[in-house]
Amino acid sequence: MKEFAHSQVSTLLRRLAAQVKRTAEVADADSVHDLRVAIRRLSRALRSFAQFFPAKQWKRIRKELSNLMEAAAAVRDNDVALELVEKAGAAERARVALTLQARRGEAEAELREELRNWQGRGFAREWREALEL
Amino acid sequence: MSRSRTPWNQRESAEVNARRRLPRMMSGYFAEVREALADKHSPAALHRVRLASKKIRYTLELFRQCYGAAGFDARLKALKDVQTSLGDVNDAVTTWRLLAKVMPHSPRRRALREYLKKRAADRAEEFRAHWSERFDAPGRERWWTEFLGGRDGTKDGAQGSAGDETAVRGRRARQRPSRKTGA
Repeated sequence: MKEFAHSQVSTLLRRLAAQVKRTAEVADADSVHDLRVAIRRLSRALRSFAQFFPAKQWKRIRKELSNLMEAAAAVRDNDVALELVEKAGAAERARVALTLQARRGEAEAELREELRNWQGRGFAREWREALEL
Repeated sequence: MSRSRTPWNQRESAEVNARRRLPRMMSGYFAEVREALADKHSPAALHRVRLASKKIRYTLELFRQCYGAAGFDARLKALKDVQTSLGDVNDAVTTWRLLAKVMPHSPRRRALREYLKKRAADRAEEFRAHWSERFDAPGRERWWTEFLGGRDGTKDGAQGSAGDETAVRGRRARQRPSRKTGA
């Protein structure tokens, strides 16, 4: 069972690393969505299989994942709002749409900077060691 | 879902662990949602259901390889449909919170608020109908627990799912925004 848990987390960590790279390059709505899913999957795996990892480490990593999720949510909330505002009949050039686009741009810049920091520090390798994978 | 810190038996395989634990987790999920929905008009209740749905879905996904693919995927689709309705409710609520911060008071703001309120209410109603008529219809909990417990009589556990889910997908396709499912 421990091997299974480690294998699952290892796979999900590898997928997250790939998605971090992708979203750091292109942070469109789909890419941000996929990043959020990758974060959730890894976070849930760590929680579900917590007994097979050092407690201090899986908790710390989940906290970091939660912080990254917040940065991604800031982008995603604006994407969803833009879509719904458009559905409600507001033109793309409407002031509210322009405001949302500007906020989205700022949130995206912050997210991409955070992702580059994650890549720069080699988070995947660091976590593999911490989790004894 | 169980809050036990050590739910898995290290001496047993993943398959054995899954068959022992997941049916109970799924029953816990059904019980949690039924209890939340008893509080009929509470947005907080729907939020709890949304979180519980995510939790069970992502936990189940970890064990996909322990089950027959067709049966497992049919069940996950059913769960995704639940999540999609709940996600739509949440999107409308979140969008209104965001717009309330960035839009000055105006007729346009009021109109958007009404649109989002109605959308959230419609989707919440749709979710409740879907839950009671399909996901939690008589026999459905057993459809889940027998499969997860490895006691399903069909070859891969897919039986009984296609018609229901096709109907749900058709309705979803007509109503939901274009963003991806699966969050």
